[in-house]
Amino acid sequence: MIREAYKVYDIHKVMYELLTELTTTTVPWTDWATVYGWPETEVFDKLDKPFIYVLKPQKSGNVWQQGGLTMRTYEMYIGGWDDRNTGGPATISVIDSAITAFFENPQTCHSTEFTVTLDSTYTNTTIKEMGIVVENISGGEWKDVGDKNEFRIEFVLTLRA
Amino acid sequence: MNVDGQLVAPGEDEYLRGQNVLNQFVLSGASAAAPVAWTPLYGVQQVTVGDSTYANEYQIMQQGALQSTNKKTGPTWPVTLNVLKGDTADVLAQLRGQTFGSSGYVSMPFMVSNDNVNVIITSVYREADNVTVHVSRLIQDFILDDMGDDTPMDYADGVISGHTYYPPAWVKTGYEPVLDVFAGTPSTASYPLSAVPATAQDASIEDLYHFDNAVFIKLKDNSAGDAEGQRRVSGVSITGTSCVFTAGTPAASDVVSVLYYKATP
Repeated sequence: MIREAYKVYDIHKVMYELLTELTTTTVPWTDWATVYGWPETEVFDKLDKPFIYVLKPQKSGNVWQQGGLTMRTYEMYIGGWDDRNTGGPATISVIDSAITAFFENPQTCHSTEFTVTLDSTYTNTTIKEMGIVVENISGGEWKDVGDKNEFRIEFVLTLRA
Repeated sequence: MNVDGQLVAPGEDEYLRGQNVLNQFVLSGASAAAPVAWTPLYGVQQVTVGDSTYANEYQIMQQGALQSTNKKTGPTWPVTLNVLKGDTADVLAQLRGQTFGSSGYVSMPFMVSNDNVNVIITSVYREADNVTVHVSRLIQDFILDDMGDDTPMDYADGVISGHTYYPPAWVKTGYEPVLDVFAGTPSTASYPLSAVPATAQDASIEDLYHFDNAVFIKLKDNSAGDAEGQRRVSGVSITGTSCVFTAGTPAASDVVSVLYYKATP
């Protein structure tokens, strides 16, 4: 279960491991890599396959109850990145489709199993078991990257945890 | 008349928000205990006490004079609890004094088949630290009403409705309500309260709100099938820290309930 005092870190780690599970085991995700946080330079230097980057969540609101602690809502940016060598605009459209379809299916995104290590290792867990639910996904918005041969889209996941 | 005065700014302790309120309840039919422990209500969004309504309002006139007396009978205060939708059935079960789900009942009907008292509710208004009490509110003798439900596309509260025929009240910081419940015994006229009763209200005020420095002293006659206990207005008094019956001493299966205020330790 994600920890109250480490919520941002734990949510970030959990969602990264979920996406890593997909890019490890599930077609067409296996054509892509998953990157934790903003990609380092060496990722761009290599760029041998498209990747999905997972940025840290930020708190966007609270779900209150009288007299006690709140549940929080978070916005989390994830994106897809590739270039003409690894796919191009068509690949970006596939990434867009796959991410949207996955997170807009409440059963699929909340029941896909993965392993994550926080304070301890949780094997074959789900985001719901970890205390995270996906409320919405918006995007993928085109993002200018300067290089006309590279393509980037970005999504905003709205999470409750 | 002073028209150029300027008030000081409100203090941060006066800007109270519902998110810092702690709502708690005790069952009207609680088992004997002195005191009965309060149970926090989880998932509450709001507890609203509406304006009272009267079953009958009329004026009494007299011939040959202009004076009239305004009479009201039967006040009722509507009370509404808004709770997180997912907690609606659980909160309803708590207020019914039942367990919902495993080891209890598997259903909670929307209908309430009687007008019996369910719980006493207190809402403790706290300051931003969720510790310091500013003031609290007592809803005595809350009775559940039939309920409804809706399933809008977006989030909506679960709504639990009820009413009380007795005046809710504000309670000063530093004081809290106490419910002592005793199993009656025929040879016992005096029942020791768990705390020293504080002065509830001006004894000269004639209202439904209090009796002899208690909010109420009830005697439940189980042998007569009494569902919720009857408020005593005679034959009993608070003497020091005891509830003492001078008439109609409790019988073997009776239950004595005393709701009063004490200083918070």
